[in-house]
Amino acid sequence: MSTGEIGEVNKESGRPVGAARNSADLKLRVRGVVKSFGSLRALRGVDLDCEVGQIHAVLGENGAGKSTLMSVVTGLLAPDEGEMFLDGHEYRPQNSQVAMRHGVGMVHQDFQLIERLSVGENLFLGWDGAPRIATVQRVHEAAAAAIARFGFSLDPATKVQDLSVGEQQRVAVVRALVRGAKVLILDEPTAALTPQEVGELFVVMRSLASQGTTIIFITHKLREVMDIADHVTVLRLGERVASFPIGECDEARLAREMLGRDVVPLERDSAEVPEGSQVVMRVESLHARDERGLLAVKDVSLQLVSHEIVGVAAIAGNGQRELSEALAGVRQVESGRIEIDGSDITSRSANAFTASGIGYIPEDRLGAGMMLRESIARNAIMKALSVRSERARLTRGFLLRPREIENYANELLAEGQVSTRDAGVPVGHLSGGNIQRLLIAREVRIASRLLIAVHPTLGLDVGATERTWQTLLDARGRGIAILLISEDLDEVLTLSDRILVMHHGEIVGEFQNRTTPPTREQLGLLMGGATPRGDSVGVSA
Amino acid sequence: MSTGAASTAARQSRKSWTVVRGAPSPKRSWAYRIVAIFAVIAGSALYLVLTIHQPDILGVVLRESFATPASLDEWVVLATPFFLTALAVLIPLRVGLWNIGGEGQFFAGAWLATGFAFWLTHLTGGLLIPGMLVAGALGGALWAAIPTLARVYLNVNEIISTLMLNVVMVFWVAYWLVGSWQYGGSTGGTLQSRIIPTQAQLPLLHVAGGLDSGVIIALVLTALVGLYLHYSTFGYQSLLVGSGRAVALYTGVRIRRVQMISMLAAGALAGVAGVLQLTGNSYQLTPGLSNNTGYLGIAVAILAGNSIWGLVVMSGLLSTIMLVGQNAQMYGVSSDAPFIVIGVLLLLNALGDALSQYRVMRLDRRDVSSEAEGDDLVEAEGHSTAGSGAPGLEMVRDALEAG
Ligand SMILES: Nc1ncnc2c1ncn2[C@@H]1O[C@H](COP(=O)(O)OP(=O)(O)OP(=O)(O)O)[C@@H](O)[C@H]1O
Ligand SMILES: [Mg+2]
Repeated sequence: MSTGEIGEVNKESGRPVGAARNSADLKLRVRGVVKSFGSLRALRGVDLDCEVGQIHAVLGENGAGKSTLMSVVTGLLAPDEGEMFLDGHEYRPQNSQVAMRHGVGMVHQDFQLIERLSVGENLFLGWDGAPRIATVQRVHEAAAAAIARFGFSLDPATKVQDLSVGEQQRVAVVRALVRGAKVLILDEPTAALTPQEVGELFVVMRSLASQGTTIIFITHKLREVMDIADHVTVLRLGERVASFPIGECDEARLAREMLGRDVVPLERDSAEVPEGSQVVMRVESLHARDERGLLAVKDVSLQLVSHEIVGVAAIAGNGQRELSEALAGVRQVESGRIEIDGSDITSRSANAFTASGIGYIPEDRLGAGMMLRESIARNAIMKALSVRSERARLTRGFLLRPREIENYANELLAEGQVSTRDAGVPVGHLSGGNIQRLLIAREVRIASRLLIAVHPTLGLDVGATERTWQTLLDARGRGIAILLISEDLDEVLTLSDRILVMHHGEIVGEFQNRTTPPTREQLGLLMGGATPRGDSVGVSA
Repeated sequence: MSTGAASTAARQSRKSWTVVRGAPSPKRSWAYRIVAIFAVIAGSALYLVLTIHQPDILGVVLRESFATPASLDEWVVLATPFFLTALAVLIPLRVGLWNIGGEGQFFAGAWLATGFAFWLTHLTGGLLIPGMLVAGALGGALWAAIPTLARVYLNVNEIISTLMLNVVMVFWVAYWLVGSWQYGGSTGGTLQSRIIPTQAQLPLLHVAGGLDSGVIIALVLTALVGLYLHYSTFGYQSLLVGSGRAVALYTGVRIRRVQMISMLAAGALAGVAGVLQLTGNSYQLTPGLSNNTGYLGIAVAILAGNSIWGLVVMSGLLSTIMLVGQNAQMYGVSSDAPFIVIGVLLLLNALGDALSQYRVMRLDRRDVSSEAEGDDLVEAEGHSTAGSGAPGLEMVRDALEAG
């Protein structure tokens, strides 16, 4: 197709040609997109310009409208107003398949793969370009060719359920590419990845971009933006507030554009764990199995003390998730003993753990931690009804008190600075980060003795991350013991008084972070399973 | 954007209707349900007119169903058991269990209440009926306990076990009806029990159509269950259990306990339905006592869409269908007709639920990919892959064809 003058009309299709005006390289152009949900205006006339082969970061606070904008671009949501152009042609996808046929593909946060099928089968499933009849072997051969073509290394015959999170994500990326994606949208792709996997993803992204794929990349990590993006667009409250090449900005400026103010630096609490600290939880030689029946937690003994933040550093899949579940009463233990304030609660249910003042921010926040289709109010009291004092407030006898429950939910909304103040809204209508804020507020509220926080700041924007860290430090100041499990070493090193390193289900190292902080290299080596060096190690009984 | 008049005109002419798939929507599924109901009503009317060769058949049947002094009474009497047998399905559904055993639990309740009435006939006046209600609830709950325990502790599929136990209960009742409870002693040939004593019969509210006070009990129970599900801690625990295993484990709610209570409550309600039918209506135990209300409760619960209000409305609807069916029977319509109508309604309802995730929208045809628009699409694709180094689509196609 030839490019013509502005305003010239292609006779067959009746559409103006050369609409990209002077920027012939513009792959995707979004103009004035408006999207409202009821009275809430999630997008208020957003523009977006992405060039061919560009890695375009989209930044913004929780609820700024990033995911909504991407849903519009991929046809999952129809915009109320506004236009989009792909290669200069008007582009209006009605659903994601149509978007895909136009070469716009998205990798969702949950990847949307079928776990029991092989990599190859997943690549071809539901793709209208796949042949009608093909043997598994041919599918796998074709998949191997595709995977190699895009420069990945994956075995097409492996079942998806046996892959790591990073590998699953790669399958999802290849799946989009196989379908001919020339615009690849990644919504918070790094949130679920280990630092090493993030590095690998970035290599892939660069090579795809150099081959002409346009990548739209959503993240909350400013450093990642600086590392990988060519261009950045910042959204605030559904509006584009800035858009500039990466060369013109630094992290501080990005944060300022995003929040509309400077980030408040974290106020550290007094460095020492005070003298009068009591043991809150004592764990003795705990063993626990994972879903597949394999021993995931092996002989773990530890003590959690009031006024102390204990960080657990481990590579994903080394038993830290199972450990957190066991300590919250969610996972049955194989053997060992868990004591809270001196009394044994090993074989009790999560209900009893909650009643003893343990708050738990789980890894699976959407599946386990929230009922997405239920209202905020109903989700707010998921734990509180197990806590005697809260129960007295929220119920009368066996009846719920709807007014009090709504008040309670509103308090959580305010404490968590969630973007809505309407407790009747289903939780599923909140943005990812706002769900996390609500969950943190709920668990901090009931954690009167111990807070177990798994990846607490995952999906939070810069401001909310700082606030959450402050919340954890404040809780520590009130004498609450905190177990912080995170793949973000910065987070662990910033907040922890003590750091435990886990590998293959065992605790392989311990550091007093206040007095003798470990280096990232030391931690990295131990996490990777290197034999510990004498001085830093020694698990306290 | 500068778009000339020509292009605007071209665009207008290229608008077309398209089906778009989205998330299932309760609102749309209710809309489809209402359409289905009207479709079934219209279809039934058409059937009557076309098959029964009698002038004004429609008017006659409708008048008999709705405009006689007795018709309202009959309608309410027919609806009464539906409230309870539908609750017996709805409550377990909220905790992820299917109770198909309403029919058996209905008879278990009616059987125990009959026994109660025969054995304790001389219980002082006012206590006999409450005693029968309690006995009926107990009977239904106990009959539900068997599949529930098997499900909760041994993971035996409750759909199959509850269904099977219905058949067992029918034979159990028949055993008593040919035995010591038989009408007219052992000489009588029919399967029916002796008449229960008059002090065991519910007072009538309205004599014309035999409206008994059972409907009040049924409505009060329905209201109580509604309140309980929405405003009690137990109702909240059901919500947690019904939200999936992960949520239940995370909150530590006692899954087994909640499931057991839900199933036992369901059995008890179905049992009470049996007692109401016995004491309010037939005054004797017969194999036809339920008139299939145990099974029809499932239909009501499905049509109710998990809502108590829906349940009340749909109970009324099913009783209308049954009533019209009864009256039409006198003019030669098969007694199976109401069941066929309900079956069709369920089918259409399921279709509506599936359709509720699709929407029809008027869209610019250029974006719609169909054969007719193939050239447009190819154009777009050709453009997007032009000059790129990663022709993924073609490459994979080649590989597949080569293989
Ligand atoms: N289906 C929906 N119904 C109602 N409101 C919605 C719906 N989806 C999103 N919203 C609202 O639109 C706003 C923007 O949400 P969006 O998910 O786009 O935010 P985001 O920028 O992706 O945030 P996050 O960083 O937290 O993921 C939020 O206030 C959210 O509550
Ligand atoms: Mg989002």
